[in-house]
Amino acid sequence: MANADILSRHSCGFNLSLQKGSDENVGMGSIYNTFIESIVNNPDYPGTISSNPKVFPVVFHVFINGGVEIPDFDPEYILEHVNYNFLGSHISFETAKIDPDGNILATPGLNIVDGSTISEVRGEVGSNGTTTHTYVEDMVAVTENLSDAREVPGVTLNYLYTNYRWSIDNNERYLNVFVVNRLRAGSLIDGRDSSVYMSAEHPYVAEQLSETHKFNCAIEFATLGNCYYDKYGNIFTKGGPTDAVTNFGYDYLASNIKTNSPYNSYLFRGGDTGFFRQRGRSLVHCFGHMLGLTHPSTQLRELEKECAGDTNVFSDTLNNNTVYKDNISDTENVKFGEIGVDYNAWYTTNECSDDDNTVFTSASNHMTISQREGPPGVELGGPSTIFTAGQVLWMHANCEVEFYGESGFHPGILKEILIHSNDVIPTIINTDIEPCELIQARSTKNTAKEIGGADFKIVDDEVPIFRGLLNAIKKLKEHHQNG
Amino acid sequence: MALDLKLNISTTDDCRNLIIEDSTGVYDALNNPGGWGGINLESTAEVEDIKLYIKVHHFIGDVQYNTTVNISELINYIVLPFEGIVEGFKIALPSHVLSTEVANQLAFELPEVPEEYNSLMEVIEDGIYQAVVQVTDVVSDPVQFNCICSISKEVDKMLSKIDLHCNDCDTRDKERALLAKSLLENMENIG
Repeated sequence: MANADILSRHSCGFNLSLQKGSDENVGMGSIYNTFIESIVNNPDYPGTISSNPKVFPVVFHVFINGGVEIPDFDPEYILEHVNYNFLGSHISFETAKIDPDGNILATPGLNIVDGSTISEVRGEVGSNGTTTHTYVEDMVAVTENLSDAREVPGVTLNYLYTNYRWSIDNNERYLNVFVVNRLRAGSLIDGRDSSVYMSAEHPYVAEQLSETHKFNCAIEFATLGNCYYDKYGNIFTKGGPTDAVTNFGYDYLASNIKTNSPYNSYLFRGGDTGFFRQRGRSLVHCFGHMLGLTHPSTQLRELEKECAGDTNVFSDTLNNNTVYKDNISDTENVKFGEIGVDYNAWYTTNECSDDDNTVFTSASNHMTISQREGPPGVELGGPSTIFTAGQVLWMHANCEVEFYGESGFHPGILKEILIHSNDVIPTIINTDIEPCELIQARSTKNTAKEIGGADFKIVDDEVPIFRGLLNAIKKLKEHHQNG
Repeated sequence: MALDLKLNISTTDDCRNLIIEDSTGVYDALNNPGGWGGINLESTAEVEDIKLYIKVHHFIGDVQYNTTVNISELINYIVLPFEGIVEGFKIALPSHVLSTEVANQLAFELPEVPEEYNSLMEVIEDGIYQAVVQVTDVVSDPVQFNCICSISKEVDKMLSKIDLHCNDCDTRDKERALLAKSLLENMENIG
């Protein structure tokens, strides 16, 4: 399947990750789905797992000098907006404080990379020759080839991921977010350059294809939110998640040296006639994918938009002719699940629903519409945009995954990051307590008491999980014997 | 500090007995200030001075019960390292004794014991258990034990039936077995 089928006209490049999983037979259906379903579909689980707070360390790799400047780029400010959209989910994001070498970051969560030094030689020596692509002139290619004959120009995302992502001793410790000037996905039929604006990897696919498929998110500056200056050169007001307007601390310089055209048109820069007013929502969408969510409906080929059928996207093999649902019971079936449309289309019709009242809900889901929203002059975000309870549970379930391989047990990527989060977002230890107080506290631990006072622990949350896992294994055993 | 009773809980390999062992150790001011003797309670006591309370978190059908039992006649199941010395005691509680105690307690608490409940279990039922031991007037903290003895054996059987190195085989059984092993690990670590 050509990548163009996946990326053309999409705003989000996540489906490429799913397609790769399908192509490489990573077992999205037989293993991943069973694993997550055994947690999610147990009626006893939701309150337990979803109430367990999870904090992910995030590092932004910000590529400058490729047509952008960052007069006030602030990861903590950006995550403030992201966390606002995750309110109530018990999932949040915090800037990493420590780099992979153990140094304290000057600006938490920020790794600035000089894009002017980045180039990639592409093409096979001896065939059609090689071409050098630079970040400054060619920007970033989401994938190498539009088809066998046509390549997407730019330094490939895979090159950036391989050379600039952070890990510690090859172990996952961060959510790596790559912020770049532009993500290119080739040419559309009408000849325009296609962007996907952002891309992210599914944790299970990344887990299974760890050698070639890195667990990252990439996003254009313009997609984060409003830029620093308006079109008159005035600085946009910097507001919080509930304020009317804001800026996200970056700006595009005039034009691309090679094409002599703007790196990103003003329409895509959040100006007063632009569409990008989502205040960090694309990053929320991105993190949703990294925590295991798909779009509510998935259609790989874009020729005709259709509503999803009954087939679950977590199938072992994906094909062009099927529109898949996300396997989450409380999300809605929508067309255009991966692309941005103008707000009028979303707020007036949903052709996949018989209930007019559902339109607003479907349009406002973080995993449905990700890129453009709001009429001119209005920035939208926050509580009108939601994750459903099913999506929140699905994300939590992905954080609980552990795998058993031939070399023993190991946590999934997300659990690995959470287990070791203290390595990069260290907890401040309260040293105000006098040692004597600690001793005093311990010395009263086991005083003699009547049996009535020997309180058993409350394990109300743990028993149903235990039971659910027990039943899941019994179910697997039945299939094992019958298979 | 006061005596800090410590317990190890396990099952026998055949899953037929629940084992509760004292692992408190001997008093040492530096390394084990909560141990037996020294400034703490001496370990000279009789079996009659020991009481065992077990809270069983179990299901009958789809209904969850949290049943606390006081094991009577402990003298029949306890072994002391030396007569009159309780340090290092070991209790081996047969499954049918525990299930009978649970049934008795249910009969006391409920109008009638659910029919599905087997009061003479042959193996320790998989589930979550908490144990508290009282020696004279010293009570241990509750110790949680996630019993996965029986289901572990089922998973081992699943694993033993697959050939991990067969590239041409149908991989579904392998996937199921590995997944089951993964879920088993989660069960063990709950709590």
